[in-house]
Amino acid sequence: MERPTSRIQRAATMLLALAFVATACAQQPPSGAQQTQQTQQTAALKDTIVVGMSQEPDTLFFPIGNMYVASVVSSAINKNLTERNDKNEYIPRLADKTPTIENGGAKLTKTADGKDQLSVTYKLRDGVKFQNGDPVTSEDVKYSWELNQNKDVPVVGRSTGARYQTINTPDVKTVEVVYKPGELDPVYFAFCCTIVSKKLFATKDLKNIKQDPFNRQPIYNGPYQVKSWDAGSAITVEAVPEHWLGKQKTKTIIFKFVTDANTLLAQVRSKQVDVVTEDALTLDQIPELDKLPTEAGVTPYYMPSATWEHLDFNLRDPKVGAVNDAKPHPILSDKRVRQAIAYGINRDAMTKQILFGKTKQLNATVFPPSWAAASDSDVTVYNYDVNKAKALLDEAGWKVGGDGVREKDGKKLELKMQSTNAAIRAQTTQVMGNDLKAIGIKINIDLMVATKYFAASGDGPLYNGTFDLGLFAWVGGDDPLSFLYLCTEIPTKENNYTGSNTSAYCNKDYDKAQGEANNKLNQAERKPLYIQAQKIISADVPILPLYQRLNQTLAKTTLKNFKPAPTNTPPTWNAHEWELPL
Amino acid sequence: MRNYMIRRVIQMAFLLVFVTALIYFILNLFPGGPFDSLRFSSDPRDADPREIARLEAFLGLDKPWYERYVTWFTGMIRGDWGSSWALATGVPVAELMKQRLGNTLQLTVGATIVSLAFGLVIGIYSAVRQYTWKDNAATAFSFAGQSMPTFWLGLMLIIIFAVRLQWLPAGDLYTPGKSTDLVDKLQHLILPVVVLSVIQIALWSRFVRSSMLEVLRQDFLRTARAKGVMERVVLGKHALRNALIPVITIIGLDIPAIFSGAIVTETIFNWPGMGKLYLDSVLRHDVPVAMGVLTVIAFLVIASNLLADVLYAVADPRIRYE
Repeated sequence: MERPTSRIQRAATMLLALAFVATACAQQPPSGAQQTQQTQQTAALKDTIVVGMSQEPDTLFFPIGNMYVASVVSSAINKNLTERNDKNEYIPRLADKTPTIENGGAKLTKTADGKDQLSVTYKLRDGVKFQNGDPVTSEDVKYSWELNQNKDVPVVGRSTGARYQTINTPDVKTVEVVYKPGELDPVYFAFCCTIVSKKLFATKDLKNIKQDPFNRQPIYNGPYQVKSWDAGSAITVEAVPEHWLGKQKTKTIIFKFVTDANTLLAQVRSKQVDVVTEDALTLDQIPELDKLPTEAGVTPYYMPSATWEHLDFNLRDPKVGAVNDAKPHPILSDKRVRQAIAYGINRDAMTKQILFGKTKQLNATVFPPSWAAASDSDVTVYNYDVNKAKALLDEAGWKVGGDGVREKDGKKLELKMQSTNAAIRAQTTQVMGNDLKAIGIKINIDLMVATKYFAASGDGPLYNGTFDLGLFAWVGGDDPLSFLYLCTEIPTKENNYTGSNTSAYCNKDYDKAQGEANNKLNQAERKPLYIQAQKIISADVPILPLYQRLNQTLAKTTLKNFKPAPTNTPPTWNAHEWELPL
Repeated sequence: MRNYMIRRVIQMAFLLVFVTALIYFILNLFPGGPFDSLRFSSDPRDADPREIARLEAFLGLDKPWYERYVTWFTGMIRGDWGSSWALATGVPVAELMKQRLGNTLQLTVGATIVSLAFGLVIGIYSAVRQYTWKDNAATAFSFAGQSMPTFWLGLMLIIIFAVRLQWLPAGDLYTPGKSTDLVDKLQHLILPVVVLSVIQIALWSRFVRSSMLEVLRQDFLRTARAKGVMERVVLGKHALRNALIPVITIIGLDIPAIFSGAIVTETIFNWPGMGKLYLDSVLRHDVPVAMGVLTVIAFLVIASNLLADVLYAVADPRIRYE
């Protein structure tokens, strides 16, 4: 009689063997014939560049979406009249040149009632076409603006288009954008809206545009066209034959969606991905990224981004919150305390610790590559100085108590520092908390989910004014034009918490300088005003700029013409020039 | 039994309504909305609350949550689960789930089959060879398997097999451009199935072992042996069959997991399944998609409980429901 256990042993052995065989079949060492075939396949694959992103775009009908990853794909499949390059310059794309006041492409006239009126004229270059072969005409450009302003379409971001009064189309190639009187847009050479085909959209049901196939299979004018969209996996785009921008160096680009940053790096190391966009990488991966050139033939690019972290000081009493006639903050309304905090935080060490020295501390609210960036000599710089910090606090009447925490009139110098629970914020608040403890300020850190922290309508501490110190980031625009810290931008319960000036800073001199600069077009006239505004705000220090975030991208070291930009411009702005040698 | 079934089905219907209402209420408690990113636009005019309110009205967010729930529920009964807000603008939720469900089934059914095969074999062997070194090794494996974090195991396997050895791909459903290549798809399936299976094998082998040990002590097995029945028939037919009764019910209760996917595994291996769909929908405040996935899971949990009870009665004739 056969022992039953030996049957079980045999069954288990067979199952294990099957598993090993399956694994072995997964990758056999290539035979000669297989190697040739694989080499040929590899050679064919060099026609393809794989780009890894962290998310899947919600739509490729760009007027109704607002995701960064959608703009990464957009830059490859769609071009506007002008486009920003890696040097922060607006270069002509559909237009034959970038219109400026200096070259006569833009004009400033006066209306009958004396207001300034700006008009900008674009001339479409010869041969520009949509991907279905239809020519791009001035009527398409005008229609695109009308679509942008159509209230029945859920367009996101209509404010720029809302500044236009009309668009004239004297011929098929000429587009004249006429702004509303008084609207002086400093970025007038960037057309408001995604350009679509009027002929194509005339037949569409705009009210139900979200359900239109255009969202997944669009027809634009760019050098690449969407070939396929595998939901949850990747979007494949292919070079459009005889494109008006010239011959594309790479036939196919595949945009893969890989949520986990570690998995994406593993795919880079295993040569499944050639380029990684900035949204897909996290700052704590920097030490690992720096090893990639030698370990995987991939180069990391670190560009200081337009996103900058800062610490807001609440100038209102947090017990009362964001209301009109709010009382001043019992501690932070004293400028000496704010300046002491500024001197007491070692931002230089912070950038080395948190950002691995890839960026520097920020001393102004406008910074390079902006042409309006203030130099250190223009503003009050708060370099780390513990002695100065302590002296200022002593001067303000805060004396060190027995427990090391300063006190005044029986009250402790204790502040709540709030932010989101993102890893970089957790680290930044810890560093600041330790620095401030050393000068006698007790910091209570309170981190929460972003949706709660930034909640409007009085639900979150930032906008309802119940914080003491608030850490978050702003995303800078193309231009130094900014309304962030104007008196009119203070959110209150009475104005439904509208406004960006969460510190509730109000300085008429600052408003005058910033407001005047915002309402001019000439850079030479605007720059000294912006510098003046930065000088004022740095002296008052209602907010403390900390550092610029980083745009980290990765690309194969051998990839030619990969030029990531130090702004929000996606690295695919010149994807048609990318070339991955065999 | 029939009356019992009718009663349970009616209970199921009420429970489903209650659960979906509760989930909808909780989802709508999350602060913020699908247009939060506009608040940080470089142009504050885009962040104008009136502009955000206009965009939210397109999604019906200008109505109170209970009104939206009724609209959603009546639509769901008719087969209209709504459209995605943020993950795939305008795409019907049912279509999104259908796309992902196939991917999830590939992964979880594969893992279930592997887990069952190994779990049964290891559990039976451990029970028959109780307290031997082989049983101790299986026990150690079981503890290790249950303790091991999925994300760690997944990343370790990726580092070893994908990065270092380059034997297998580091995630994804298939190599781009090879969506119809079966071998390519199988290669991509191996690592995530292994990760999912390790934990299941660890759990199920313990269940089978305990259940077998209990049955092996029963008198009817001694009677069978005394009657001259071969040992393999004693174990395979009499003992195993009785030992599998609780295991069947446990598998029945795992059915929701089979359909709902494994969030961590799918994220690590970039597997576009139901688990990842759910996670993405919550992170992006896509309420219709989150509701769709959670409703499916709720239904499956309720239904699988009923199925487990029925299977138990089928497997064990001593069980009778009034």
